Amino acid sequence: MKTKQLFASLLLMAYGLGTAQADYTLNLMEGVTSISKDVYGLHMLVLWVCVFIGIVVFGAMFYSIYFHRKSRGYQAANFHESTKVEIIWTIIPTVILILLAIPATKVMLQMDDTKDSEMTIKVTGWQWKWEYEYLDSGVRFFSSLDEASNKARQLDSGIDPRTVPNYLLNVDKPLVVPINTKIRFLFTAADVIHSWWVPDLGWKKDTIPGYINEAWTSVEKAGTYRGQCTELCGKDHGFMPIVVIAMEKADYEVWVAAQKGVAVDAANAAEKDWTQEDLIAQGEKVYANNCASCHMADGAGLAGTFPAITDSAVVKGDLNAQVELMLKGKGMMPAFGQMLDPVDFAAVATFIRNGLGNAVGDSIQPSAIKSLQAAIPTIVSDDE
Amino acid sequence: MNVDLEQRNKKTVRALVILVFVMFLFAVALIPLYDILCEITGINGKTKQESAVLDYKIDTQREITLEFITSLGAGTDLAFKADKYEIKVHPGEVVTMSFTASNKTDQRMTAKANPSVTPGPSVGYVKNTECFCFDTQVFEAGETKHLEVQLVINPTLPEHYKRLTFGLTFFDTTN
Amino acid sequence: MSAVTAEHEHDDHHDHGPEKGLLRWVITTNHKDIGTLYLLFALAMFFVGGIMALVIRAELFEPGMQFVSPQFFNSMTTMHALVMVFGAVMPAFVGFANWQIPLMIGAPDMALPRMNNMSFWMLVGGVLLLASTLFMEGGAPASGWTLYPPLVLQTGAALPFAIFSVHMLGISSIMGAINIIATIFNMRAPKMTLMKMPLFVWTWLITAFLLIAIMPVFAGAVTMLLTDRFFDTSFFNAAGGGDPVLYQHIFWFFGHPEVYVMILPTFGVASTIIPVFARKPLFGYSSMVYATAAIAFLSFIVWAHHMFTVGMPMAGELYFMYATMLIAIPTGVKIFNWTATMWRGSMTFETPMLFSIAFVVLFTMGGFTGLMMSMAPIDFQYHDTYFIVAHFHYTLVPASVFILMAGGYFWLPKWTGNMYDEKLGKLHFWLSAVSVNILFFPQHFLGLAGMPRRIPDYAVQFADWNMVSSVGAFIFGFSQLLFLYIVIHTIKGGTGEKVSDEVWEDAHKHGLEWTLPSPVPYHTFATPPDKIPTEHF
Repeated sequence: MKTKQLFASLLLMAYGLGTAQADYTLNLMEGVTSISKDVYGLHMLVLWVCVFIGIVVFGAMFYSIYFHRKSRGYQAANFHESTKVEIIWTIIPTVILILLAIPATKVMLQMDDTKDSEMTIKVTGWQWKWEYEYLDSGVRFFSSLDEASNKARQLDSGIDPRTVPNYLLNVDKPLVVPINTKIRFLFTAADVIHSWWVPDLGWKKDTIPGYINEAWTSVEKAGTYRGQCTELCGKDHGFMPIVVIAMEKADYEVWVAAQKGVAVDAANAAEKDWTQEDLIAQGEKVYANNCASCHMADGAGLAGTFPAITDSAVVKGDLNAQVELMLKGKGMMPAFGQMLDPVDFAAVATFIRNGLGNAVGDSIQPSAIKSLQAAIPTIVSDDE
Repeated sequence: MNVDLEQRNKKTVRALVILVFVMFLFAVALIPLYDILCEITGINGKTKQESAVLDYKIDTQREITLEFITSLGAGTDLAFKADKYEIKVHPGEVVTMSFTASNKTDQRMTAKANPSVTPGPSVGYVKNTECFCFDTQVFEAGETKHLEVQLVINPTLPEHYKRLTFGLTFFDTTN
Repeated sequence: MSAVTAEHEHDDHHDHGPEKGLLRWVITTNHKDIGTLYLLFALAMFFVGGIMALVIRAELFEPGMQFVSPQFFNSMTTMHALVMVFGAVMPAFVGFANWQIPLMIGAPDMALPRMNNMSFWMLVGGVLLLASTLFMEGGAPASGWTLYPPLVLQTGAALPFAIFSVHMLGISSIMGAINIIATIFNMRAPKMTLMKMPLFVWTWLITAFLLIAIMPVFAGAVTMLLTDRFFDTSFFNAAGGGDPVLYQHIFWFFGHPEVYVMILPTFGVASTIIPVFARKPLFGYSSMVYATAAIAFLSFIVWAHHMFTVGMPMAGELYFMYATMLIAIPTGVKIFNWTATMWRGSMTFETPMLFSIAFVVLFTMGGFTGLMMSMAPIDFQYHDTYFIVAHFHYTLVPASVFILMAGGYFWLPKWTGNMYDEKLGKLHFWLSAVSVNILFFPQHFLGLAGMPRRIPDYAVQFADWNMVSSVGAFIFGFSQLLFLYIVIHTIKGGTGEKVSDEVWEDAHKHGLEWTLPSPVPYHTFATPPDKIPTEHF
């Protein structure tokens, strides 16, 4: 099991190499799907149409500005209408628009065609991370901003973003997909509206709480493709990137098998008894990644907006009440119940009671959290 | 200012104020209008409760894959899943799918599920005769419930639909 | 008390000049005073909104978070938009309307002077209430000016106040619109038939109808937000059977005409200025009127092009794509007409003309990107990126704002009787025109390269163009201080040169206002003029 996981992570690294920092571009990217290439073609077409119209209109305008000026002694004409000209410049744009609408409609219809997909991935937007669930294989995980970016992006972190590989465009667990496979995505959200966008795939789709949206892709080239949330979803909207790693089908199968091992390991870790020291040590990391951007690294909070952790009545009060608040969220505070696994949840709950200037002394075990938390729904596949 | 102008101004203002109120009412009326529009066009893929008993002829020649997706709103502390992820059905056949939902908390919880069918335009053909999502569900502390959805796919469903997705999202509405 | 008595009191008022002292500005019912108040308030808000924009651009100058928290950054983008739309651009055009409509149609005042005063002070109250949310617990609204649920429902204590301020701004706009329509319908000089009205009056008439149609809808939508938050309704809450996307439909039913509320009067001012400096009548007057009406009509049936990515059924996507593409036709007609107005004119390039030409060129650029985004499949790439930020800023800043500047330079000499400093005016124009492009043009590249909008920090490949854009923003922002100086300088006496009654060469052929003395007396057209300029047909 362990070697499999090691192999899978090596694979991930191999696919991620060579793209430490993307160069800046001026134009839309062509992307790596047939749709994204069609979209790019359409973009270039309408761009050139605009350039052409621009040259004609601005050309006439600047000719006039240069020659028809009083300082050159030009006498003003006195015409003020011409039905013929007006009809011409109504008809020509109409024709151009019809010529643009035809290819646009074609691409649109292709985008809508999710038929005969080979696999389905459910994407759920959360404040502020993505949840991916492979409906066919049951693999399910959260994907959030990587630790290095997260540290560097804190106010006055003192870390130069240029030293962070793929700053703000890197995640802890990327979405892995096989190439040349028609993948159907189902989109929904748990809290507010988000939008899932990887430019190389050629589209974005909103994720709406309570509703399901659909889209599809088929990646033609193996590689790492990066994107971001594109619908304002609150404070950390700018910090929930998307990373898609497309790999050969055989490699993908290895990755899936390894993921199942990871799930078993996590389940085992949640069952064992943890010492308070281990929980606090683990909790400190979880705090830095999930809590520090609002409650600040030292737990001081932000007066008027985000409550302090240090000396907080909630933290110094009943442990169960604190856990309940963390599970369910409140106002701007996201619900961490389904976002953190039992180990991380118990660790950070214990950490804030015994760190950041607090010394309550008690702790909670991952197994206790697990019984409180929504169990991860397991998929019953049906082969009838 | 003369009296005539006065009268005309009054008339104009009266007409415009009426227009303002009409537009405000229009905004309010958009809520039911939107529901009606959604039912016809499937804008948001929401199913409606079907009151009539539907008696379609079962089309055994066609098979549709029906997929059930379960989700939870943030902070909704339930375990919730369909007992089967996907099934194959014939249009016209009455299908019952059962779901299991358990309250993971030690408190009573009320929760309501929202249905959403995709692709949207197919929603008019998905006749939902029974669904736990039509009512608010009450869960006692730790309670596990078996919930059911019953539906029929109208056999006139256009040929190109091969797979329909029925999504249900539970939201904790206790407060 | 009957309105008749009220009007009698108003009549008595005519015999006096303006009240002395500050009280004059509080209780005034004179259209010129109220116009001045609107314009000065709008100018002040232009700077307030501008400072917010500079906070945004300062944070985005470099990658990494340097100055503000992400939450405050979101408040800044939200408040910048709300202040600029409802506090600066709309009131500025209402200011122009107050000053100019009675002068252009030969009326002694607005039809409902008391309501006019009330709508101004309601505006001030609304904007101050909105600004006060900055100091509330949880901060100002940070969900974008579109106030989308469910996100907006996470706003702290500020939510009800922000919504109440939207109500006040809406009522103010509605009162202003009613006043404008009543004035135009009932108070035109006898020979001023509808098809002889100056285009500025036409565009405002259509705009006023837009306002009356959309403001109540917006008020309805935000009221439903309020009840969703405080009274357990579920209009937009899926947990109670509502749909958050419904809010977006209602919002954009308001929101799309709303952006035309800001651009139609812009068209009107441009159509007023360009003929004067081309020394030629406006080309295609009647097609301009019809094009404006067509754009206004289309604005009601294209709203969902703001929502191509929410997952509408294909038929909906296609309908909204085609309908949106149609807007290019009447808009094109307008641009061609302005070009034809300049064609074979005898042009001079005073500051108002410079700003107007820059408007035609740069608004056309915004129109091009608009056409690109109307095409739904490519909008899936452009949507919610800096490409759209570039697009709507091109249609708002070098279009609406430039035309507001042009109108200021154009009419200020008439209103004050003093000439502005032409050299400084031209300097202001060139600084603004160059910096606005440094500011917004690179944002096209950023959007195409993949930078989403409304983010406080970005990946390092976006760093170069963001830095360029921020530099442009600061130059543009500080250049506007020059405008402030020029306005104050002009009011205080300007160059000292006494301006003629028509101010601009042969302007009397273009509008009634230029037949009045300069500065315009406190009361004008007590009896309607029996002649009107014959330039409009």
